[in-house]
Amino acid sequence: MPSLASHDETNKALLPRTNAERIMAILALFDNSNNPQAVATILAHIGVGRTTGFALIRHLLKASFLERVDQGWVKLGPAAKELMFNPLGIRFQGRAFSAQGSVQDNEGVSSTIEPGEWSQDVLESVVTQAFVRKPPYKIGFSNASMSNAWRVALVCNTLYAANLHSAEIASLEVKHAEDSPQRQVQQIEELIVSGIDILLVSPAQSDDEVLAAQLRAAIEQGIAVVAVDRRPVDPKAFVSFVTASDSTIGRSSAQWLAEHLQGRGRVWMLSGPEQASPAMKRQSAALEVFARYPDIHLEAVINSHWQESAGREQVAQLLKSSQVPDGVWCDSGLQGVGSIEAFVEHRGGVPAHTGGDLNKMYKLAIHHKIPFFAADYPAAMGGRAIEIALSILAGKVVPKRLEVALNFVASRHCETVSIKADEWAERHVRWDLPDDVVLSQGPSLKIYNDKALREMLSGGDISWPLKDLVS
Amino acid sequence: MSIDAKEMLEKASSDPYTKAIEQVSRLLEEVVRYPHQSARSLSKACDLSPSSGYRMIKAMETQGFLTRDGAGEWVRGAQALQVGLNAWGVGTLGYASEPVLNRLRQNSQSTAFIGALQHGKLWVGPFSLGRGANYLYPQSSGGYAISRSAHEGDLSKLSLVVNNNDFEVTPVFNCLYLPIVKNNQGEWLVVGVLMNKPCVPSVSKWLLEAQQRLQDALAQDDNNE
Repeated sequence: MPSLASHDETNKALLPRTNAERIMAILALFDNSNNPQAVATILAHIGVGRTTGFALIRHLLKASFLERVDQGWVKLGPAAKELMFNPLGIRFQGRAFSAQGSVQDNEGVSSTIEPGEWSQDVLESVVTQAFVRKPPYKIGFSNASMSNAWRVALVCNTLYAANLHSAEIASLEVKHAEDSPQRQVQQIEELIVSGIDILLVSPAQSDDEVLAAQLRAAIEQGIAVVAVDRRPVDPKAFVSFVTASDSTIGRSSAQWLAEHLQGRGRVWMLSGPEQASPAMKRQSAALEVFARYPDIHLEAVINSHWQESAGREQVAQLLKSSQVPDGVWCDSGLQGVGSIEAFVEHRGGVPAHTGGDLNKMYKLAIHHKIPFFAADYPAAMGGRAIEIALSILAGKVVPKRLEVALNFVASRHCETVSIKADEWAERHVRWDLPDDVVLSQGPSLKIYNDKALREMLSGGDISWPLKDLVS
Repeated sequence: MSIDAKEMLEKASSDPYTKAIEQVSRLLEEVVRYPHQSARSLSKACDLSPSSGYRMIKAMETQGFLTRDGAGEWVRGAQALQVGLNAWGVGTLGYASEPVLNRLRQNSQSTAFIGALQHGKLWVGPFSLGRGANYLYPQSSGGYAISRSAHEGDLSKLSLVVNNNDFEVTPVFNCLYLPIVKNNQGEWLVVGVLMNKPCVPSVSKWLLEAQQRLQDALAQDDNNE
């Protein structure tokens, strides 16, 4: 009989305590192919005695969550199959079944959208047995900076996930490199010396060879590296990369703008910083789309910081020597809000804009009735990075690249032939929340306004857990 | 109901194991039935007291069986989806399904899904949908009987009906699908789109791409083993 004696004190603390937790632990125990498991193995895994264990198994068999394969062997059953039914993070407008409503005739209308880039590594998986550690884990997060609201939301979401998995995580050290590659290398060294089990990294500069060499060395030492949002150019410098499709953001927003302008007009492009890989991927995907429209004239292609002041200054500068364009392509609302404000101050009308993320961008677009499209870059990827880190440390197979879903948001009546919105901007905006809130951070949006958390996020490096952290 | 049956039912519901299984099941069903913004409202809908409901929902969130979506509504979590796919023998599709289905939806302008064909029924699995009534989404887990099937080029076409014993069978919608793999129980796993309007002409191209990506994911898993 398997006994609790096989678990050390640390593992004992992590054992499921309630019957509900034990049920979930049992269901999660089966592998990808639903290979049968011995009942004795299951009982050892959840750390219960025979009486409780067999009673649980018997009831799970009765409820069809498990089915018996042979004497003492079970696998997932028909009721577990029903758990496959799951919407993938797309917001519902109501859940009543509507098969007949508002059927639109799309006959004869063809989408002009092109396949675009598909990352081959999106389906590549990685075996992680070399990185298995015993919980509770020490996690380090080397964050490029807190220089804009999106990055703050990323860290907020990461802390939320750490709180959620606090039974498995002993500590989470977050160090901000203030966009300095040298500082980041130094901070990662400090994190490694402090004895972290795994490293999350969002590089200040994607093609920094010193950083890549340091990360490769960490992996060789058995410290797994999870890149989040930005990745080193060298694929050997990380185990897994949590991101969203930057090329989809660039391509869909450019396609929308080109179609909104009916293939003709003057466009200004405001991209993010050159050293950030997401900015360059979005820009390059957008340029490919615009290249297919000979009557779209790109009058300015500018790389700026993802900051309101940068967007305002650059547009104000352009307006000194040029007329108001027909459209402004921004890869994010972080600089997009500055762009809109510069046009408002100029009083010459505000052209169609792209670029989401920031609550203020939606507020401004709706208030000034600007034709608008955005694909929010999900700050919720911070939490997903924590989940991937925990999977690696438990030795599970993980994807080389995990793409978090994007939502298309457009102002009402501004959809085009190829680009339909998942949600109207008028519904997506949060008038009850501050301007600087990033809406794509998922569950952590709930705690974003917490005073203690805000102070912590604005106070430099973070050591979690903190006494004052919101529950 | 006879007294004996009532007593038995009460006895069963007081049994801690049955009770825990029922509570977990009820919470997992409720979140796909109706959107709930708060743990309190979700607990109430499942006849749980606010305090024990909160504890259980928190535990399920920690285990990944429940999560909040971007709008703050409770939905089934990644671990629940993974258990479901594992039960069908295709757990490898867990990570791949999200990007593949979202891409298929955005390109085909239709609700995209991974499903399983079993004994004349289509069991709908993870799906991805867009805004409003131009998109369909499945009402509940599986349970769609196939009333007619046909082929359009490489694609198979199904007419589906709601499989609800309380109502007359009524044709509801069509779908186009392609097979991904046959699992070890002889069931076909498929990827497809649901239709309540004419599809964009390029839908077959996007479906073929999704099929290829999902098959690649399964092949990759075999290589790892």
